[in-house]
Amino acid sequence: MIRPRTFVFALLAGAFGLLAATMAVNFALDPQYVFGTPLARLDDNANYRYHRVRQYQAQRERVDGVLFASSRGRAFDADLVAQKIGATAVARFDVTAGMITDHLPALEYVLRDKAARREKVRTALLLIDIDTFGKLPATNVNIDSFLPPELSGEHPARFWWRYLTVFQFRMWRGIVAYRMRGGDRPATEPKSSRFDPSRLATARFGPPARSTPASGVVLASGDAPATGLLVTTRPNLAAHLGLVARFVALCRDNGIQLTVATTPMRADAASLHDPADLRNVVQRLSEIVPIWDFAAPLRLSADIAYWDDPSHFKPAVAAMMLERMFGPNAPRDFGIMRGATLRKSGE
Amino acid sequence: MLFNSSEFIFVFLPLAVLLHFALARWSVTAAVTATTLTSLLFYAWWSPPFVLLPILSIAANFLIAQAMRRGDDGTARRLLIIGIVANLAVLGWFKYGDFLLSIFEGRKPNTPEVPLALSFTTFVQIAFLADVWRRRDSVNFPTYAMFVAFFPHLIAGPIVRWDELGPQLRDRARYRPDWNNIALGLTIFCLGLAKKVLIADNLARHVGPVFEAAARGEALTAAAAWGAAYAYTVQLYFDFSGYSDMAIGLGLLFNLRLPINFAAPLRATSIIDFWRRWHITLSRFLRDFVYVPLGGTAGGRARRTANLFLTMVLGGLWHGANWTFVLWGAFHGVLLVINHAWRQWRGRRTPTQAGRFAGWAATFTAFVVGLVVFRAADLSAALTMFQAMAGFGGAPRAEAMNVAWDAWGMRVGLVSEDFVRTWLGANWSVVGTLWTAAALAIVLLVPDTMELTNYREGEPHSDWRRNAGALAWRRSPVWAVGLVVLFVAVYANLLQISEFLYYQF
Repeated sequence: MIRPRTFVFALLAGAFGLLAATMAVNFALDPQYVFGTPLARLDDNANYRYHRVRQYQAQRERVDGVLFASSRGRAFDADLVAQKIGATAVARFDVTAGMITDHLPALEYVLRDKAARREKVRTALLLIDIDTFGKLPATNVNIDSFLPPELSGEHPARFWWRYLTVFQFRMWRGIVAYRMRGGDRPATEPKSSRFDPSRLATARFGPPARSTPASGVVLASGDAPATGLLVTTRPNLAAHLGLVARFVALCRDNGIQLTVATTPMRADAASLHDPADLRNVVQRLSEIVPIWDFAAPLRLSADIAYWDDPSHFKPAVAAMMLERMFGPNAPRDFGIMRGATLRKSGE
Repeated sequence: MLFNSSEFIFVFLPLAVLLHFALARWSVTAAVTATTLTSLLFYAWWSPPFVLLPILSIAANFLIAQAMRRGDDGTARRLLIIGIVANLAVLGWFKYGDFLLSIFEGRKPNTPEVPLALSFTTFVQIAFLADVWRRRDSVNFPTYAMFVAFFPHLIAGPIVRWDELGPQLRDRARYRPDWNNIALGLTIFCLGLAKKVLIADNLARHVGPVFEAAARGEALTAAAAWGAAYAYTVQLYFDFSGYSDMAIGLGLLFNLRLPINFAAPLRATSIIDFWRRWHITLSRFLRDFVYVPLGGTAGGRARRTANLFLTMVLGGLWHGANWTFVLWGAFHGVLLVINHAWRQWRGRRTPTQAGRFAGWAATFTAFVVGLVVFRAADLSAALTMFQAMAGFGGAPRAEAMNVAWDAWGMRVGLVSEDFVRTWLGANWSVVGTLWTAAALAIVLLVPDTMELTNYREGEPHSDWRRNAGALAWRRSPVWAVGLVVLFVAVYANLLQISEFLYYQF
């Protein structure tokens, strides 16, 4: 038997030692780049929700245009977007797994901030991923997806406490391994240690789809996963449609010229979804706001030269999208305007 | 603030305990006042404006108690009735107003926004008024305020009585740190935390998709419905008993012994035994403040049956303003009536080993079935679950999958994709089944926290206990290391913050 006081201090030493070690490691390695002290930079794990707000704040005087997107929006060049949508400078809120649950608070924050400075946002481009729309959002779920206090309204101390105290062993290990290799990218990108498979909306049981870009290689039907999951459940569809309606109303009330578009999907990724379900989502969205539907033609969606991986298209596709929406030179079979314009023209 | 959050464990709790004992060296009243204020801060963390409600409620009940003490018997009795009605009126206004209105308007009730802890504090204060009425003891306001607001039991019980906590709060010897109690308290808190974070929260991820699918009216396989029902039963037990363990552990840090709330109820061999072991402090409240005033066992068998049934219906309704809870309470009322009739018929014969097993199986299964109604979003969702459990779910082979727990098993060939799609459907998994089986094995085979630590405060009887043997808690290096390792495992999962299930009641 240990003396009671010794027993208590042993437990407290263990608990507080664990806390201190966790805080020290998080501060030193800074896996989500929120402290500004990273020993290693792995962009995939940064909290983009936090960083995009900081970047906006750094250039807030110049910004009069905004881009809202998921990580697919990173293919867009900010200067090109600004030029096409007629803005002086564009603030980008292209956040990992971003959905309307991220974009609406970001828009509200920008409008509040601009109003306080007696400035205005003139134009905005909202990109929506149809495959994830209405599904469980990643917002505030993983450690790399928490909204900054400016957007969430939570106390800053709570935000920093969370990033100091989170136990993310796999992330730490990935960063240390990265340093040991001399800064090479890890073979497998470390994911958040808090990933929850039950929230998986687009699971796939087959072998991973090829992701190595090889110009001219076209995906045949055999390239699709051997066993695919047709994922049709969208538990938050109605709620997300409501948020889009609010987003549109906010833009209208603040005199913002809003353009809304869907992002194109690679053929094998699209094959995991029920086409009727995808069409239905676009239809429901187009009832709220005219929307550019970029369901890609096969020659683009099946050519992996246009894709970084099954989800992310390359800058060339982004440039084509901009040209289709705002310029005269894009192919007419890529991007169709649906919604108010469509109904008016009787199509 | 949640017990299972790092800010509570590492900031709020240590500061609250240190402040309490530091001030107690100077003045017991100062310590009591400070702990009351930290408890109200704990409450206000959830919603600052709502903290006014417990403050006003504490003040009003104290004034009623003082008036009762000073008044004659008739006045005291009238004040007691006024106090009980006023407490129930506040609870009814927030919790049952829309529900009652929905009955008259013939619509589905909306989910009310009930102030946190209201159901529990209402019962605590009613029991207090009854105790003052019986004893006419003097009550000191700071002590009474701490009795109600004390944060370990404030939000979700145990439902404490003035006659068990009041004397402890008046005992000045308890305002010095007791390292034995702190060691035991930290142990019980850590075990409760592990129950919640490592077991209940993991089961919740498997339970949710099935019940949500039922709420959407989607077809379910029988295996999915039964699996989720069993999983929810074990989840609820680990969640709520884990919370109660934590509350007891926290009480011990302040040198206060709260009553036990769970006595390994899932090992009960009859439904009567079950209700003596599940949510013990609620059961005894319902017995003393509903069943007995209704007449209890007096007035013959028919009257007793009616009293018992009505008590359980009201107990069900206490959990929430929804017909599902009413039905759940009524179901248990019927089970208790049947069990009493069975006992009367059998007499005092000791059951055989096989009989005890049959009793356990029937009790456990009945509880599992009842909890389907308890967990379901509405009666229609419960019906969907029951249809599936009876084999009439009509679930086609799943084409869409909502959960991917078995993805790894399918990839490496441990389980066939066809089996999962056909038998488990879109929302249940082999992994969920294994988790449930493992958690159930812990429930049935591993001694409960109260058995491990031999904590016995407020237990109605002790014949449920098993000898913990070599596992029994002692202040040994092995236990110290084991608890630290357990805490590391808990801490690694702490970001997935989830509220306790009984916070909603």
